[in-house]
Amino acid sequence: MRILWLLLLLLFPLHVHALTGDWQTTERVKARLISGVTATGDLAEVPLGLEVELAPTWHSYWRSPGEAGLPPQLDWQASQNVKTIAIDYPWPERKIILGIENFLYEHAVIYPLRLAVQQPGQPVSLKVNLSLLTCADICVPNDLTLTLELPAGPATASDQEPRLAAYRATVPQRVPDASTAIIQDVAISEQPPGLRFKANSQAITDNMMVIAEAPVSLRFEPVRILERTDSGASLLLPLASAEDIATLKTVKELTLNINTDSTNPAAAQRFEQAITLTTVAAAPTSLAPASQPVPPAFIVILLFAFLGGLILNIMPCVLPVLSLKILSVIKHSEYGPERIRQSFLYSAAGIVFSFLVLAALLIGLRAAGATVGWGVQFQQPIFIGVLAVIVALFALNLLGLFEIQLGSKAQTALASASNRKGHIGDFLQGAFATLLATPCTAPFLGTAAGFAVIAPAPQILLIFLMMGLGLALPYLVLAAYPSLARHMPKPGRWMQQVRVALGIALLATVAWLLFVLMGQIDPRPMTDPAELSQEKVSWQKFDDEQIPALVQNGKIVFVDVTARWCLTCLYNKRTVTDTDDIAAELNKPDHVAMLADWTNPDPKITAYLVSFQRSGIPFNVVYGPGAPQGIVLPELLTKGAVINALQQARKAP
Amino acid sequence: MKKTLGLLFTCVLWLAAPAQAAPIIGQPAPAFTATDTKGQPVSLASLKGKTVVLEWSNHECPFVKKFYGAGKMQELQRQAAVDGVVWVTVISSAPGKQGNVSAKDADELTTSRQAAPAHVILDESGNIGRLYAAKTTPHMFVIDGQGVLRYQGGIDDKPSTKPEDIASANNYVTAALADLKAGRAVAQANTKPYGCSVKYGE
Repeated sequence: MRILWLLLLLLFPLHVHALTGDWQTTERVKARLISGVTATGDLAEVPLGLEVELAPTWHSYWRSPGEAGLPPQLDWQASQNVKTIAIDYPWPERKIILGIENFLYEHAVIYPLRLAVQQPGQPVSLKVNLSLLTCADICVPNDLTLTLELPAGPATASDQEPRLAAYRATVPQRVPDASTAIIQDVAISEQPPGLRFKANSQAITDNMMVIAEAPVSLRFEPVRILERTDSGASLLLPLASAEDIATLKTVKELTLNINTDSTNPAAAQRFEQAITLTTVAAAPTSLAPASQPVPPAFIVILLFAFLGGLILNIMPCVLPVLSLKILSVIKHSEYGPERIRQSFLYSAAGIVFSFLVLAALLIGLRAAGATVGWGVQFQQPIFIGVLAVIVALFALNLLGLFEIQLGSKAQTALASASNRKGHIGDFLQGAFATLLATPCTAPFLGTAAGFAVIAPAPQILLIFLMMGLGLALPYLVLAAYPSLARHMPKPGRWMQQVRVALGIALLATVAWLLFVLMGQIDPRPMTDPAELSQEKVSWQKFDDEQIPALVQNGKIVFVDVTARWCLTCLYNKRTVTDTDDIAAELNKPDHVAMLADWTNPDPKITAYLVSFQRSGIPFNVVYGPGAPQGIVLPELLTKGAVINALQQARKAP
Repeated sequence: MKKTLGLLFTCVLWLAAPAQAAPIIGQPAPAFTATDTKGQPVSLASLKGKTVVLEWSNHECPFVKKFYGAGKMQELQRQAAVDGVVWVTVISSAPGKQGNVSAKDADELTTSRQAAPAHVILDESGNIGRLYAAKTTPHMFVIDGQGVLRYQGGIDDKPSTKPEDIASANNYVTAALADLKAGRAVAQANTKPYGCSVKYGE
């Protein structure tokens, strides 16, 4: 019978008794009470609504208003036949206004109310004192007295019920914290800082939204889906400020609200679940291996730094500098041993000095709270631009000496860096070698530089000193035994050819620098689909949070941290990763190849490197069921090393 | 060459923009220096040895009006003065925003409201506000004599604009100061502030 009534009412809405109170207004807002039923019937709980219309720019608040604001407050003491009134909160909007986070409603909202009747079957007389805080740029409370008379009689749906129902549907559904919980395995994540949890809902979309309500002020960034599972998704709710992790750890109880699709209210599902935080989650496996590698002894690090520095001499970026130096000595065969010795000593001093400057810089930056790494200055376009000009001048100077006849003044100017007669020139040559070395990591150097980034200041200075001495070693040897230079072939036509060759090599360096620069001016990342489609390997964008789950599903993950400015990386790509046989391996269905583009600063990638105690690239890691913590590959890749690591990673533990 | 190196350094230094974070209970409170409305220099360092209360304020905000209108904020300020606690009112409203006042207006407000803060600081740039991650007016901080942050959060546990709620509310600042005075750990050290948003500039 009631259903028939309902149908009739729906068909003939004009016949429905409109159960609404009068609008009460202020300059900012108007509000009234509405009822979902025409009369109290025998209902113990009557569905009502607090309807609010807001003037443009003004908003009212959700139950947790965010970092400022206040939800509406109701005082129903003056009413008759009312036990309690409970207010529900439709899903709000999240807005950051002048740096303050708000959960709010704009334009209009109906807050559903649940009225518990004292004596069912009797009429209800509502007199509610509403204190409604509205804010635009400023906040103004609105105190309004709202009334509504509900007669006794059959409780049929009123014309307001559909409007009320639309808002009621967006109120998160409370989930008991039981085995049927939607949210499971909630834990604090140290790195990246935030809350990790699983949500068992098939309805989850990429547009999902999560609101955490904690007893203290904590702001979270929009939720990130780490991984889709059969039952739902594994999620990370990142803290807006990493330092707030200490505050988060003090939290015992909180409420998580999930909206499976914030862009589609009709299809979305919304849940709310109270959470008790019991354990602090172990750091995610991909970021900090469970068994932290024991850092090598400091003396070993120093040895590595020295060896790394020495090897830098033959890395493609630095090779021209030493070669040129030796050539210039050969050319000036008339120089006595003392002159040669001094020339090399000054260059060596230039190298060591500039390494100490780098160390001081690193210490200073770290004190200022920045995360830095080897070669990060290559993430700055100005630096690259200036360096390109200098190297170009250098190269032209080389070629010009023999083939391009410039005016003597111009020639002198161009020749300044390499051929200045004084010691300053020699010193600057050393500094130049250091500068050119920064985009390269040599074997051993990565370990040492990585250690340095987290070492105390005196150790940083020592490590960089050793690197400098390593790079300067050939210079020092030649300074000690100037006669060695005499044993070089006699000057002749071959020198001209070598110089031209080196000049061309430097021009190639200029071309590469311009390539890097263009890559930075054109903000298209290396992971741009158009660019990736030209590569043999089908790369995915780097996401270290996905790695543990991928490995659990038996996948083998190859991570390549690279950058346009990293010459060794490009060399690795040419000779190993972008070859047919390696690409064929990496493109197998159970392999995932991840490309991390560090061309521009990226804290996520920096954090990933630091977790391996590295600060420079190239950096490649292979994960798999046989190596869930990852196998770190050598800086200079070989096909054999990659294949071996892939095989090792495949083995079941 | 030297120029290049110089450039390199400035470039790298430019990377080192400090991150924004809320101060942590039990850690040294962020140091600040300012000049109060009377032209007197105020710095956290110079207040060492004394308990300091920071009160973020905006005289036009209804939550602030609730406490000044009822005389509660003045009462807290007077009690603080009696106990040797330095009460600093900070106004971080940017020019053109609600609550932005001149030093003269601020002092007149103090007089007309019969308020008794030790200092009123105008923080138009919002630098001190952001340093403390002050979110609301009021937003309260209590710092002990060693300069360690002991309390941050709301003024009490009854978020509302109604003065009649003050009497039945548990005032967190009173409780924190009592705990400090008794040499106890502050029981409620971190709560959620409530109020209007601080009217920072863009």
